[in-house]
Amino acid sequence: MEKKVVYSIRLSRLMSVIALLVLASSLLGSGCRKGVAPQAEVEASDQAGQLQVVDPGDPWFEPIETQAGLVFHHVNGHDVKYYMPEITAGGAGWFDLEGDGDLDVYFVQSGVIGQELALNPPNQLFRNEGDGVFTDITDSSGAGDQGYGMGLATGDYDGDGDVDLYVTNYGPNTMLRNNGDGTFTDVTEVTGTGNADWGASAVFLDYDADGDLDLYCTNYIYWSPKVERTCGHSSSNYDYCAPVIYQAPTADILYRNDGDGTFTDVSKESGIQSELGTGLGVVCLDFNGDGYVDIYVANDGMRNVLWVNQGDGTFLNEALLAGCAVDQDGRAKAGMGVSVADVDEDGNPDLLVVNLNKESDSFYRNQGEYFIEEAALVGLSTVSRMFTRFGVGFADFDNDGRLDIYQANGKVTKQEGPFVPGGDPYAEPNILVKGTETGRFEEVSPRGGVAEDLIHVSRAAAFADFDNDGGMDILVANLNGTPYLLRNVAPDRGGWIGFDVREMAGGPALGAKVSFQIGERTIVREIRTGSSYMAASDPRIHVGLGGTNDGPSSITVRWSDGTTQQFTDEFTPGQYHTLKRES
Amino acid sequence: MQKKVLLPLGGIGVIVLAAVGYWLLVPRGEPVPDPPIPEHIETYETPLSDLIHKGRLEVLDSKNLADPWLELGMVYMANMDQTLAMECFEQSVKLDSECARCWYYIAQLRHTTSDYSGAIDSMRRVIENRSNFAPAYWRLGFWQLELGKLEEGEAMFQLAVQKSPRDPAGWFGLAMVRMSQRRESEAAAILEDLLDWTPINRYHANLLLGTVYRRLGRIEEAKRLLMGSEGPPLKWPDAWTNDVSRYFRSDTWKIDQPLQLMSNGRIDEAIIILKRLLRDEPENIDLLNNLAIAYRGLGRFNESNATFRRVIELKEHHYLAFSNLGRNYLIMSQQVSDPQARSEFQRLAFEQAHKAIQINPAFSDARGLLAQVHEVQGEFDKALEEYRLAANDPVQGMMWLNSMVTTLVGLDRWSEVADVLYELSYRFVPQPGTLYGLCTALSKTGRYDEARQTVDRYARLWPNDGRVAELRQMIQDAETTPGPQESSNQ
Repeated sequence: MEKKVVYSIRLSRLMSVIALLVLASSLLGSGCRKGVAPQAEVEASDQAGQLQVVDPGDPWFEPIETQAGLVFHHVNGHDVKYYMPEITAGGAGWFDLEGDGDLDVYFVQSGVIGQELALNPPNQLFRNEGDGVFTDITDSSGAGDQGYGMGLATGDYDGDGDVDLYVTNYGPNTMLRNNGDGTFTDVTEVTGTGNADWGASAVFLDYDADGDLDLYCTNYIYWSPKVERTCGHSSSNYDYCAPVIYQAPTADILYRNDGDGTFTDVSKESGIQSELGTGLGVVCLDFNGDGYVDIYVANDGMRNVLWVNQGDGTFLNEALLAGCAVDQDGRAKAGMGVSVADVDEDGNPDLLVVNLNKESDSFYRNQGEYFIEEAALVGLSTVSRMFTRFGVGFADFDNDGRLDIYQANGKVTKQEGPFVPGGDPYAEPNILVKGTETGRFEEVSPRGGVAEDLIHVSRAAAFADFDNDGGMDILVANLNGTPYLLRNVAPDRGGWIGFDVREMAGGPALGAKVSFQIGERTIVREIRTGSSYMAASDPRIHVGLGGTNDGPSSITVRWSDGTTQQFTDEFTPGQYHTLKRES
Repeated sequence: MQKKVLLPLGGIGVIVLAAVGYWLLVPRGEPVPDPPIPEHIETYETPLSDLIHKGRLEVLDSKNLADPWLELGMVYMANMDQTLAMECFEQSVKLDSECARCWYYIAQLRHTTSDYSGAIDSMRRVIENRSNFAPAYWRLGFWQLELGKLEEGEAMFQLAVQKSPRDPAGWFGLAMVRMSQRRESEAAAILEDLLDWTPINRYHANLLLGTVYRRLGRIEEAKRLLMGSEGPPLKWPDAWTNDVSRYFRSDTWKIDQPLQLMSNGRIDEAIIILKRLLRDEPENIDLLNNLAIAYRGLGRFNESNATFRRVIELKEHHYLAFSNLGRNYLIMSQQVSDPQARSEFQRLAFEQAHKAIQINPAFSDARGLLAQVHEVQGEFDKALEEYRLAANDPVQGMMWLNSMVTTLVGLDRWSEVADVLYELSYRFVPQPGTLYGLCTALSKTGRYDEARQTVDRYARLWPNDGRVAELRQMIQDAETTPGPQESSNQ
């Protein structure tokens, strides 16, 4: 190759060199010696280009899945063809199998598309032994569903005090009734809940306020191997397609609990069927404080949906009017996971939706009657934009009294090449952002709150205090990989208090709204297990107390059927208190 | 004291002179690299690989010039290879640091990788070298908004609208700043003005104004605007960004070429090209589908139907082919006089549309076709139901809304006509006919205040149009001698 020498003499460049020399000379001449910043201060700049101190800090989490005995490897069955469900799978969750106060783990397995279901590896159930170790009890429990698995919902649908499981699949979903003795019975047929479409996230809720739990399930797209397309880009001729390629959104499904162990599909009469979407994430919340539970669905590449409960068994999608269908820039983003919490403690639940890479998060601040999208104003517009986020959750991981956010990431195409050269083209690190006193969020270093980057294709993130030590831990399901169990070891964790709110029979009181005062803070929490992405989390309320060490003196619980109950006691911080419904 | 000052200055002079001498006399040995090439270019589609080879040859011919590097970078950028695009643009600014356009693309690429600091710095280089280019300001403004920096964003948008008052992007940005500042009334004023003139991203203006009205408690107005707030992915066009798209190449380009001919009425030529392409790829579904459409354009329905059936044979879930086949049958039904044959063709059209919808319930073309079949069979309510679903399509929606209007006028259902025309007037750039029709429908249903507001809107948009007076007179006449009115929906 011929090498050419460039003689580029440009006046502007010359002038800049001269200017620099003048500056350097004058600084030297005046005896200035302040030119060199400490090493730590110049190591990085923030996204606005301002220098910031880089302190790797202490990790907030320690990955302990191996020593805890969580032996699980998710399989998506990818071979030659790129089947769409392969890239979206990876559900997991926490629930209390035996009501012993220790949260157990359920992993949703996938398998191979098109293969006989009996040949798929089963979902796996791990019992928490209470000493930091989990035992695989899949075989004895009968919970090992073999559908091509997606997500998980938990709730005591039959009101017997035991938490039942609903597993979403590509193909018919499965309802597993907890028999109360560590075993499950597949009651899909009896309950009539075997939605045969491509189910994604699901939640139990009491939408008709009759005291029993109904079920909402998002369906992603109308898809079968027959409609699969070949998609590629400059990095590869073969890759997973974007959902819009199929132009096949579907309606979600709502099952009404009839109170006799069966459900009725009320999608049509409730109005749910009137909207087609590409639902991936779902949460329940009473957005307008009218006492009826509403449903928020994160759609992938389409506008998000807010099903506002009309109180008569029907819903209207008011997302657009309520300001939570799209971002402030009007874009319908690729919504994946969704989380809800009263971030500013004004009594109204706020929403966070996480999206595809190159799209910011969507943070909808609830004003009581509508939302205002404020991701940019709270610092969430740019922090995670380079990743494709799926699992997400608010929790006060350092117990400083402010909610933090964990996001589980993993790409859906290999277009930009692998994050680590030569590595899995879909793998990405997860991130942790910390709530600050200014109301803005800031990324925690080290990244993801772990000492060494964990880089896999993460999907579900489920949150629980599995060791009951007052620190919120995280379970992350990784696509085609082993999970993370991240035990909270955050430095200088503040005080905390927890509440385990239960129905009369002993099951978690999903949909109950709990209000109390701690010092200046007014805290309102709703009991839920479903949020994030294809995940089920700890239903208990966990509150970080920061520097204070006071508990509330009085707590009001509004149960899902609208009745209220007052609890007065000495609620000592540093422990979980059970609030059980009276007859 | 004076000596103390002079001494360092003397030193500076020496240093400067030495530096200048070095800079001028000593050749700097920074070799210009070869232009980058994709690792697996042999797997690329021919139109793209040809373009890349051509671009590289031009660079190799004039490696020390910025322009060929810039152009090659645009090829990579248009075809989504951001890494190679960046390499080219970075080389182009090494060769010409004042190349504003090069910095502009660098800034955009850095933004896509979330490198805000790099993106902002690069965009500032654009402004340094091309201070009158408004898109540089409004893009910077939007990035500042993403960072949550309202004041910096506002400053950029103000500059953008100063530089180019008829570029809507800066006004959109200003409205968004006001919304974030909770100054809703000011945001509303900007957006109301925008809606009067911009054809660009108006669904976005509807969304923002609808949101503002909602916050101001003007719920009904908000609802009306939000109905027209859906559109294709938001794009802020500018000349330099548009230029990049000229370099996009793919197989679809090959397929689009005959389509282009067809849309220019050169159907015979399109058929020749399609047949030639099909010789190499006899099972290319897109080519077959277009060939079938071309046959239809010439009225050769038997060949068209056979080709659509071939598509379905190759891909049994090709809803587009089902819908197109159905459309052929509907056209054929209108061309026969025998009632029995007509009815049979209508049945076949219905059947194919139904199949397409079963595969893809959101496919607006099939919904529209189904509506048309219902309509010719006199099933107007069913037709309107399907039109409504078809009208949700952000692109084709206008056509189906117009069909709804025609059907509703035929049924004398003026209140619904008004609602649909309202939707049309907000979702798409208002046309005189739309607002005239809206005014008529509102008058016929006794909604005189709304009719007057519509005339005001008409007058604002087309102040010199003589029909303004005509419309005012029509409302007045209707008010003084009201005819039989259909009950209003409002």
